[in-house]
Formats: sequence, C-alpha cells, structure tokens
Amino acid sequence: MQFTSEQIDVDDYHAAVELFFERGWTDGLAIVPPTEELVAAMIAVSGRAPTEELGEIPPAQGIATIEKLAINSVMAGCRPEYFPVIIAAVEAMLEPEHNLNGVQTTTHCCVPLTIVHGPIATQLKLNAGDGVFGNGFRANGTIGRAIRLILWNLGGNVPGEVDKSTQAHPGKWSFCIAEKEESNPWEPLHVERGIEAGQNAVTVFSCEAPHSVLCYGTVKQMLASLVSSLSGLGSNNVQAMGETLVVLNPWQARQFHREGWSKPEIRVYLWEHARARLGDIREVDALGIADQFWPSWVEKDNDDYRVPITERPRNIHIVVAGGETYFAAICPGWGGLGGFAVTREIQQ
Amino acid sequence: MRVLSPVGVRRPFAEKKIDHTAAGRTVGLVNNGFGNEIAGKFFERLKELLEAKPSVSAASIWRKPVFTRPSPEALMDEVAAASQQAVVGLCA
Repeated sequence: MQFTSEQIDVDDYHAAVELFFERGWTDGLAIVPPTEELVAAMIAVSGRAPTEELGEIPPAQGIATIEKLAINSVMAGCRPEYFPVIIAAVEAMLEPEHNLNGVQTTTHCCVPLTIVHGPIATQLKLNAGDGVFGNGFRANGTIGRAIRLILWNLGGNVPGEVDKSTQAHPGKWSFCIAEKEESNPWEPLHVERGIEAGQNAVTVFSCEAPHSVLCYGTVKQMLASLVSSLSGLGSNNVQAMGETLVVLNPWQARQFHREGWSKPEIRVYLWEHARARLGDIREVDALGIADQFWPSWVEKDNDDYRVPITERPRNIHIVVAGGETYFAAICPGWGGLGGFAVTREIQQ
Repeated sequence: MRVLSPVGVRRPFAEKKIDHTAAGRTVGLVNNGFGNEIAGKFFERLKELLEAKPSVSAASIWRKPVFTRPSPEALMDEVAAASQQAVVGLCA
C-alpha cells in the first residue's frame, strides 16, 4: 500500500513513543507506533482508498483522509474492525449542524460523545452496561481515544492554544459508549433518528461529562428527579436551549415501559416540566446570550414565563445504557451554540 | 521500525495582499455576535473612532447571527459588497 504521510525511521518501540511525545503528536499517553503494516491492516478493513477525503478537521483544517484516520486509530490501540465506527463518527462530526469548529474551540467543556448502535456494538464487545462511561473496555476506550487523537492531530485541538475549554472534562481522553439495545424496551436512538432497525450506526453529540441522577422508585419519583437535575440555572441548556442527553439504565427503562410510558411521552414530560423562570435566567445571564437562542414563542417580556431546556421535545435524546441500579445520567449539551446530535450509518 | 506521521496536511491557499492604511476607505466591522449591550456600545464607539480619522470615509457594523457558528454566505457577501476593508472575528 502506498502512503502519502511522512515516514520516519526509529530504532525501536520506545524511540517511537518518545518521538511522538517530542513532536506533540499524542494526547499525553503512550501510543501504539503506527507502522505501515498496522496502518495498512486498518485501511484494508474499511475497503476505502487511503487517499479518500472525508473533509477537513477544524480549526487547523487538517485533511481527514482515510490514511490519517487509520494512523491515529492505530496509535489509539484500535483493532482494525473498529475502524468503520471511527470513520462514521468523523463523518457525523463533520456535518455542519454539529459545528465542530465551535466544539473544538469553545470555552465550554463539551466533548463529542460517540454512541454506537446496532449489532456491531456486541460484535466489537463495546460496553453498554455497568460503568458504561468508564474504563475497562478496549473498544470503548480506544475508539474514543482514536477520535480524540484525530481531533488533536488533524484539528490542532491543543488546550490553551485553539482549545479554549475552561476546565474540559475527562471525556477528552475518550468518550464512547454503546446503547444497551437488548435491554431496551423502546426503539434505540438511531432508529428514532431514521436508521433502519438492525443497522449499525453512530450518533455523535457534544456534551458535558455525565452527571449522576439518583433516579429510583415510581415513575413519578424518577421523573421528578430528572426534572430537577435538568433544570439547574447554570446549565447551558437552561440559558441557551440546544439539545440534551438522558441516559436511563435498563431497570429504569423497564419501569417506565411497564407503566405504559413511551420515550416520546417521557420527552414531552421532561420538556414540559424541566423549565426555569425567565426572570431567574435573566438574573444569571450576565453574558446576555440567552435571548439569541430563544424562539419567538418564548414570552421574553414575562419574567414568570417558564422557559424549557430545549426548543422542542425531540431535542431531549434518551438512550438506555448502564448497570441496573438507582442511577441515571444526564449529559447536558452546549446549548443552542452547536454540538447537535448527528447520526450516521456505519458502512462495512 | 518505520512509523507514519499522524498530523494533518492543510490545503494550500493563496493569501491576499491587504492594504492596511485604510486611507479614505469604507471599513466594515463584523461583530462576532457575543454579548448584547456591552458589545453594542463597544462597536458604536469603535465606529466613531474610525470615522473620526481622515483616512476612513465610513465605517459600518454587522453582527453574526450566532457567535459560535460561521457567518452565513449572504452576510459575508453583503459585507464584501459594502466595504473596501473588513475586520472580522471581533468580540467585545
């Protein structure tokens, strides 16, 4: 296979790792050296030409060729069969509605979260259960890291330089989960978003780190807990709408389903109740940004008007993942500023 | 062992020469769109200061609809048509 990337001869594994640290080509962890053999094996699985371009990764505008994506995926420790997931995630992130340029440079902490759907999640042994956002699973860890290295080496997303994230969050190392479809009583997210059931897909959504929500008991109790957690005044969603993610665990999903609740009904309930008083939002909106993102039907002159966290219920995404305990998670988005969810079929 | 560079290559682009003197010219100021009242005052004052200079015949202000997203093409065309020089990416 012919490569267009610069080729560098090094003495051994340790010399390769040190070279990548010296040149600022890694995320702060040691890498798997991207040799020609390993990169060729990664590309071969995709069935695509190494020179094929998916676009440019902002803000550095490095051209995202299949070859460059494969090099970064090898470095992250990915197996070749993970590569189609990474390609689909990059394609999704490059859609204009995701506003990757903004995500890469904002002072907010949002990070692209990759959610893997379909049978491929089980085939690749992606974790969708206990500790889903955590460590211990090669597929989750290395797919998420490959995406981060691509954003780093092609997009120039270096903290303090073009990456202005104030505190960032640990998802900047790796941020990839799978949906637990076998325990999901409803349609999974990708099917709700137009992909045929049984197909493999990814959804990319830029969001904050997961916030734990103690969410147990009756449906009424669970909804009250979610509503309270979603509607804190400091949230970008509360001040600037956009999209948000709710991660219910399989027990909670079954409990809702048993009581006759569909996902759209939960969304509508959360949209109707997870609100903040307009006057209270104005009190804390020192930057004066909230107005820019409120649609015309928000009663802007009525301080008692209760502003929803998203413009419409369908902007509250719900997935089922995690262990069967008392906890749910919410991942607030960046508000109306961008990072919106994009779903793409995985081509194999 | 031979390894491959992971760094992205940028598409080459031709840099245009800019006349920085602004002599007798119309200057466009594109507010990045961040903030409300403070930004508005800042840009009005900047316009006043520019127009007080003999080398500038007029200054006009535009505002991006959303500060985190690129300017719509139509806005860029409008600024380009009305200005001989434009300053973008401004934020108060």
